[in-house]
Amino acid sequence: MNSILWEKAEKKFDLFHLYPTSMQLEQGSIMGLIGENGSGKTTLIKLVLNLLPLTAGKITVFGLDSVQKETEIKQKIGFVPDENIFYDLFTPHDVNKITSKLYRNWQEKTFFQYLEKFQIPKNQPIKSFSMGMKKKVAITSALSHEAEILLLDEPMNGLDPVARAEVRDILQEFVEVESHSVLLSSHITEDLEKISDYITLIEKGRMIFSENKDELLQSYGIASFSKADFQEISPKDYISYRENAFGYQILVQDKKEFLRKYDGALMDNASLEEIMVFYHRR
Amino acid sequence: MIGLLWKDILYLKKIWKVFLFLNLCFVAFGCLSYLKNKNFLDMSYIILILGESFAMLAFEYDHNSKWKEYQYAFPVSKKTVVCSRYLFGFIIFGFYFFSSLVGILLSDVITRESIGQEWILTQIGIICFIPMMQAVAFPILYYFGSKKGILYSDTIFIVMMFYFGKNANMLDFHFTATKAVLLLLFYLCSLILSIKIEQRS
Repeated sequence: MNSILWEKAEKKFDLFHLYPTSMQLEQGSIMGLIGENGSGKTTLIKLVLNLLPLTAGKITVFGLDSVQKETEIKQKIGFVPDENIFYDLFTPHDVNKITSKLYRNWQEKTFFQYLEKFQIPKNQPIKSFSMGMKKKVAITSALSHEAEILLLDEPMNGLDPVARAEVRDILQEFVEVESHSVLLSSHITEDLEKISDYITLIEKGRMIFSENKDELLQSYGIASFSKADFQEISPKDYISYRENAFGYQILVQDKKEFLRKYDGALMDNASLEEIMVFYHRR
Repeated sequence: MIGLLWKDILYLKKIWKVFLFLNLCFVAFGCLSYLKNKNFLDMSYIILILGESFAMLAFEYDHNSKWKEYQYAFPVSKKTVVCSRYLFGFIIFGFYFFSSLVGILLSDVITRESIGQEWILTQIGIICFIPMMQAVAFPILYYFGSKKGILYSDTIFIVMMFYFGKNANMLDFHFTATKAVLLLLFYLCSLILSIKIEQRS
């Protein structure tokens, strides 16, 4: 069953266009959103929360229209924006006081447990926190009202490797409950490779693919060629190429198919980062 | 709504030193002014400025902290957000209303002179300009945003105060039941207008 369903969701700004996007976030899964800055990842998340009105199309959350049932839906969503939204003067203790009145199922105990786990002082003003600590407060808040969906916009920004590992563990634990799901955007593709079940790539406002991560990594590959051999490869058989001191590297969508056609080619697995970079070069 | 109201009240609590300092200034200035002029006119002007400024500052804080941009990620409607801000404005008005009444009574006791019902009603009438100023400022702030909104609102208030300071007899501000009803209607109209503006934004 779907947690979120985007049906030709479209958003037009003066300088940016998120083209009609259809995709789905399945229950019990983690979906990673990748793409360069300004590609439309945050827009896609904001549309779910109706922070931006849709130009066209429809988004449903647990089968409910994201615009008509906005308030009801948001009780079930935990959101971590890419910047701190609370007043700098506030302490995590104040955050608890405010958000506990906004959510029906606020769990104060859970909130303070996570603060303790993240070693966040509860009575110090947020302005004295590092970027990573501010992120942790936001993550703590998102996890403390029995949300069924987590929407995380660059949650790993500013976190050290230990904290990132902690957050990854928490997210994996979160989706152990069947009805839960996570949508997170991140530039740190290494994290997404570790925890995502699905990957969605957005490039200049267009969704390039939204696929199962394991199948994606099994399917895509990077082939290397000398300059002379590269001339014989049909451009239809690869996504894009990269020139280096030893010759050319190309990203291919189906490495088995490619190897059948170009027997003997030197093929490596492609990482998410490489897939993203090669798509950007198209 | 309670969560949003809490946020605004906590913000006041956080700046309590500034709040207390300005209010002490207002009390001291009010007492000195009364001893000199035998009226609370100067004190009233300060109350108006403080009552309006603290309510408008909340908009500025929302803007600076990105709360304004992301508040609707929480399960709150635009109507609730606007209503909570008006309620906050009304709480500030209530605070200054009672503070000034206490001030008047204290002055009455200290100076052992009866201020007179006329001046008390006039004082109340002037203080009722706080919700009126808020009712003017809030839709402007919702429409133009906090930065431009504060600038435009302050310009309107300065012009208004200059005009009334020169032309009006202070007893014209005498508080009456009719004026109270009109003020309430004005406040409600402003609330509805602000909700419409926010819903369209």
